Amino acid sequence: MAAALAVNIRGRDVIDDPDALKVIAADQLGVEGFAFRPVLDLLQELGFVRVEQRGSRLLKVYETVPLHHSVFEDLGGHWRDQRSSGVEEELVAVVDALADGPMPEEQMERRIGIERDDIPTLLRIGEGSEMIRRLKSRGGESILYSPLFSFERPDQLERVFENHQSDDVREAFERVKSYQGLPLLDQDEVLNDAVGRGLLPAPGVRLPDGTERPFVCTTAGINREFLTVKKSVLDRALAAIACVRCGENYGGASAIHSPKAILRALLDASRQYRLRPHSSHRRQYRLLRRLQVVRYIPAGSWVSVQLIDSEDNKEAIRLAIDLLEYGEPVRERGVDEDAQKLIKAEGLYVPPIETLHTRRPRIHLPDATWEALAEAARGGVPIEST
Amino acid sequence: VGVYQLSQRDLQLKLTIRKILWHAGYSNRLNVVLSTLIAGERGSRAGVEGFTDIDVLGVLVTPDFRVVRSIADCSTSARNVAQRLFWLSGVMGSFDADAAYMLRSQEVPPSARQLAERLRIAILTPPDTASLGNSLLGSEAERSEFAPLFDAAVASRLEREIDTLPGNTSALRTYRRSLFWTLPLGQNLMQMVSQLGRAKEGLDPSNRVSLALFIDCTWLYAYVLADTCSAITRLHLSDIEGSLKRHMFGGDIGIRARETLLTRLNALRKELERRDATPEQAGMFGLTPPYFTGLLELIARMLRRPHAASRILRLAEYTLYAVLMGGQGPARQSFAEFDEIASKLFVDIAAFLAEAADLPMQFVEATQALISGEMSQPQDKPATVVQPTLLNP
Repeated sequence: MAAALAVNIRGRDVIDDPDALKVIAADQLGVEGFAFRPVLDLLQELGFVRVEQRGSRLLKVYETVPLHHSVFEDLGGHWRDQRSSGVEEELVAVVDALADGPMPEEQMERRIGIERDDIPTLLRIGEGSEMIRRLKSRGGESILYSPLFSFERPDQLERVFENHQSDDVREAFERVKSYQGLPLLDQDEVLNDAVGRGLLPAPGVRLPDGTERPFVCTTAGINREFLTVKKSVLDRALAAIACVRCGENYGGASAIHSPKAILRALLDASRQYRLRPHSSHRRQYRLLRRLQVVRYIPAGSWVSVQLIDSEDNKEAIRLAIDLLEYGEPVRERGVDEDAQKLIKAEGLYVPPIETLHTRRPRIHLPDATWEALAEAARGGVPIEST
Repeated sequence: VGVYQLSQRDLQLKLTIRKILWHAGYSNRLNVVLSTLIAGERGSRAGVEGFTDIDVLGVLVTPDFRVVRSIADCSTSARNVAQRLFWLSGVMGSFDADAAYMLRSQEVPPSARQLAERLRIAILTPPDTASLGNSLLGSEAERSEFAPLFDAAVASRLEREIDTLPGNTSALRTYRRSLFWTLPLGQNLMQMVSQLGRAKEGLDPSNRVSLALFIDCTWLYAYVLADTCSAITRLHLSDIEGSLKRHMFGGDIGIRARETLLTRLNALRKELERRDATPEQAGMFGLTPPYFTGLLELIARMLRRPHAASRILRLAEYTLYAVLMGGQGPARQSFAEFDEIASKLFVDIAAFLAEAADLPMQFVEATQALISGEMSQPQDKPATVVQPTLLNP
């Protein structure tokens, strides 16, 4: 509730009518009236709002929700600091696991490490709060999934589980989640079934040999508005993923090395939202052109591709980057370019230090001294004047 | 910088132009000292030597984040007008001012007006100011709530009282008065936090002069933030974080130099301590100071509200005099068109400075009370009531 309120007031600066906010929060965000003040207190504790009041009456709410980092990190940290109960933590772990795809109930203990005795309580709370749902597979197996991680056609989940082993289904979902835009091969029965039933979207892109290849994505975990009012943005994002995955997997000698870099280039105003000309662009980006996401700029017999500069298109490309980022292979995760730069620079003088390491006595300076030195190096040390 | 004394005769002229500029939408400061640090001789400490001072500086931020600076030279003396015009033209250039005014209490030679025209300086003598004064009739500047801003006794009192603060605020006071204007503006983003942090033992939120100094520092910081927004608008508006770093650290070359220095410092630490960084130390050698995220938030919010920048400065200016005088009504009641967004952003800036410099949050609560007359509940401790003595010296 706190997260919902925080992200929805973010950027408002001043809320002149807290009573109206209370009504809207109850009506639109599910923050019931009785919970409004505790939620506001929590946000205040986190520094996300300042409240002006006379006695107990709220006069104004000043919003200071971070614009540049995730609200959820702060809320999560706060939740952990509050020493949540074991069952709460287990429930979060289950929902987190279901974010990757449905899971047989019997695997909860093995996969997530849930205490067997806690399972009935967890499921009762999870189903009661609509965070977890259960369905029966063909073999009578109980399958769990979370409606929080929306599928386009959740009703079809049951059919897929009827047709395949639950482990195979789970494995297929995890594969797609870890590689958004997975080329769909004929022999992949589970994914062909899921795509055929409309459970997983798979935009098709024409390959160099003239055949069309679907690239499977999952919308599990995506904000619900992308399945409703912003469906066109989602469609464009998935199309963008399919196009760059096509270039990555079927690009031959000039295959795309980093699909995310290509999409970032499309968002780069300093490059006029344009990719350099290539012989394959006309075929590879046809789907995006049809959706009016890009236009072709002739360059001899080739074309360069330029993003059509609209808010929806930019949002679609940003969403595509997010989906790719979340689903990149593990080896690519956690790369910090700043850290890499520092490591690179450090490499120049690490060897001599290592040599000296064994000969010098250990000296320890207080952290405050290092902090002061670092501040001086940044140029932030107070200038002495008197 | 020596003892600060305002010439009463010149002061009246300064307040005249201040009122005219206020009416035109500016926020103003009197006696901006341009100075530099000079090396101390034979081991003595460095000192500050002033070049000159600007009698009145008016600042106005346009909605496209251009920071317009107007300066004024005020004197009752009619001597050496031509020389003074050349001087003012030079100051205008070195301070990057957009407009300059010369106020004199008596008529100047016709040749001086011709020279002023060539140097793009406006000369204002009593008939000119009287004419401008007519347009002020009935304006906000004429309302009694704003009288302290244009009162000679109050203007003299501000500097005098700030000079009575404890000795451990001395460096902050010198910085605020003169060094601030000497440094490249972007450097003040860090320098102000450091100076406030260093002076915190001498700053007491229950003391109205301390609070006045804090609010004046908030004005200066709001000015730097407006200038930063202006730079980011020019540099790369869609990359606020990168542009902010470039502005703070002197471009890509400055960033690279500091990164290298910090990396080597970290290596030195590793060599001395013979172990890898602890988790606490890991972030210590990053390019940006610990409060960078908060600063980024502040800049992002200001960029979203371009119309508020000038109003933040005016609100801070009003609040400074309100706390100095005491007994003034809250700003929300004094301004004919009170801007809730600007006032919120002003308190955001005060809150950022207090947090980054580790000052008591009562500074922020008192600032909020001066604006709204209502208490904002503190974020990390129980509400405290601002003592009436704070507002009524």
